[in-house]
Amino acid sequence: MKALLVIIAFCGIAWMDLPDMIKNKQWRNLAIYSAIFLSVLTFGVLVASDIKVPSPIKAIQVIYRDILGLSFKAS
Amino acid sequence: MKSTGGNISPKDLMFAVFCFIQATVLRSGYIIAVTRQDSWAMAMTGFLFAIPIVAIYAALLRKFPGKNLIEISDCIFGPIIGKVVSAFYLFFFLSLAALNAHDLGSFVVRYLMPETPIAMVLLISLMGCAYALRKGIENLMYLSICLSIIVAGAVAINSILVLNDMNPGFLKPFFQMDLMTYIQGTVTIGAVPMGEIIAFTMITPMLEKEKKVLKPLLFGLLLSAFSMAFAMLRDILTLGPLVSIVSLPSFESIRYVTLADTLTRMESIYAVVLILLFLFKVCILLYAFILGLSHILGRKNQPLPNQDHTNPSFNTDQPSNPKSFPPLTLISTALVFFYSLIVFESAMENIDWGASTAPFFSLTYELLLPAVSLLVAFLRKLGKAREVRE
Repeated sequence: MKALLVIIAFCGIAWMDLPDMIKNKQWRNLAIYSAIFLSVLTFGVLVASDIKVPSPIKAIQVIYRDILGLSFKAS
Repeated sequence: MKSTGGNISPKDLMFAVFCFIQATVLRSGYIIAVTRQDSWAMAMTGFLFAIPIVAIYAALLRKFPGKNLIEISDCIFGPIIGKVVSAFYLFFFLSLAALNAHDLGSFVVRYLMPETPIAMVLLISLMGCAYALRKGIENLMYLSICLSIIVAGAVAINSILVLNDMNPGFLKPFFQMDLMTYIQGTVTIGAVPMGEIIAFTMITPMLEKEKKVLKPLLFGLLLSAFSMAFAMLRDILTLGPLVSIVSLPSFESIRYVTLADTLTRMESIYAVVLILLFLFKVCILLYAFILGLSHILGRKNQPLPNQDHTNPSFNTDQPSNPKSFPPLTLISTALVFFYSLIVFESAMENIDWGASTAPFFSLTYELLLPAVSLLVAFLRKLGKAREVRE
C-alpha cells in the first residue's frame, strides 16, 4: 500500500516535470532526469516496502570511527 | 526553483546565517551533554575556531568572483576531478538536509504530536521547503530578517520569564573539566552548527555586493555565538545539573515559565520558532544540493545559472537557457525525504553520531576540502588576484 502511494506521488512529480522537457525537446535533460527519477523511485519503493536500506551515515560512522579512528568519546 | 542573481544584500546574508545556525543552537543538548555548566564558553571558542574556516571560504570566493563552490571546484581541479570533489560536496549537503529534516521530524513527533507518523511530518515539511524554493531562494533570504527578530524576541522574552527560576550557583565549578573535553566542545560547535555555513557559498554569487562576503558571514556567526552563549547560560542557570541529561535544554527550561498560573506552556512558542528555523535550514541545504546538482549535470560550455546576474528571470527549473538543466527541485526533495527516513533507526544513534563522529565528518567538507582547494588554487596560480578590501 505504501509503495503504491509512493508510485502515485512519483506519477504526480513526473506529471509536473516532464511536459516542459518533452515540449521543448530537451532529450538530454530528459535522459538525465529519467535516470535520477528511476533511482529515487526505486529507493522510495524499497523504503516504503520496509526493505532495509542501509543508511550512508552509518557507513560513514564506521569509516571515521573504526577505520580512521576519528571520533570523540560520546558522553 | 527561482533565483534572481545579484539582489541579496549583505544584511540578508548575515541574518540568514544567523537563522541557519540558530536551528542547531536551540537544540544545544549535544554540546551541553559534553561540556555541561561550561558550555556557554564553547560558543565563543567555537566562534574563534570557525573564523579561519570562514576566511578560507571568503578567500576562495574572492579568487573566483561570481562562482559558487561547485563551479570553483571545477575551475581548480578541472572537469573530471572537479566533478568528483563537487560530488563530495553534494553528498554533504544532501546528508545535512536529511539529518536536519530527520531532527525536525523527531522533534515534532517526540514533543508535539506523539501519535503522528514521522513520515507525515517530514512529507508536509519538505513539501513546504520545495514550495519555498520554487518561489525563489531570495524570498527566503529576505524573510531571514523577520525570522531573526522573532527568534531574538522569543529567546529574550523566555529568558526574562524564567529569571525567577535561575540560580547563579549552577554555573560552578568553573572550568574544572579536562582540556580534551573543552577541545571536543569547541570543535563540535565550530564544525557542526558554524562550519555548516559552507552551504551559503552556493548563494553568495547572488549578493548585490559580491566582494563583501566575509563581513556578513562573520557577523552572522558572531551574532549566533552570542545568542548561543546566552541561551546556554539561561538553560544552565535554570536547569542546573539536569541540563546535561535532557536532550532539549531550551525546551525544558522554558517549561518552567508560569505567570500567575495563566501564562504557561510557553514552550509552544519555542517549538514554533524551532520548526521555522529547521525549515529555513533545510531549504538552504536543499537549495545548495539542487543548485550543485544542476551545475554538475549542466551542459559544458553553456551558461550556468548564476553567471547571468543580469537576467531577472533565472529559474533552474525553467532556466534562461532551457536546454541546460533538468528540473530537479521535486525529485531532490523526494530524495531528501526518503534519505531522512532511513538515516537513523533510533534517537540513541542520532545522539551518538552528533557527539562522536559528526564533527569530523563535517570538518572533512568544511575545512579539509576547501583548504586543499585554496592551496591548489594558489599553487596553480588560478583565480583573480583581487584588490578586494573587506
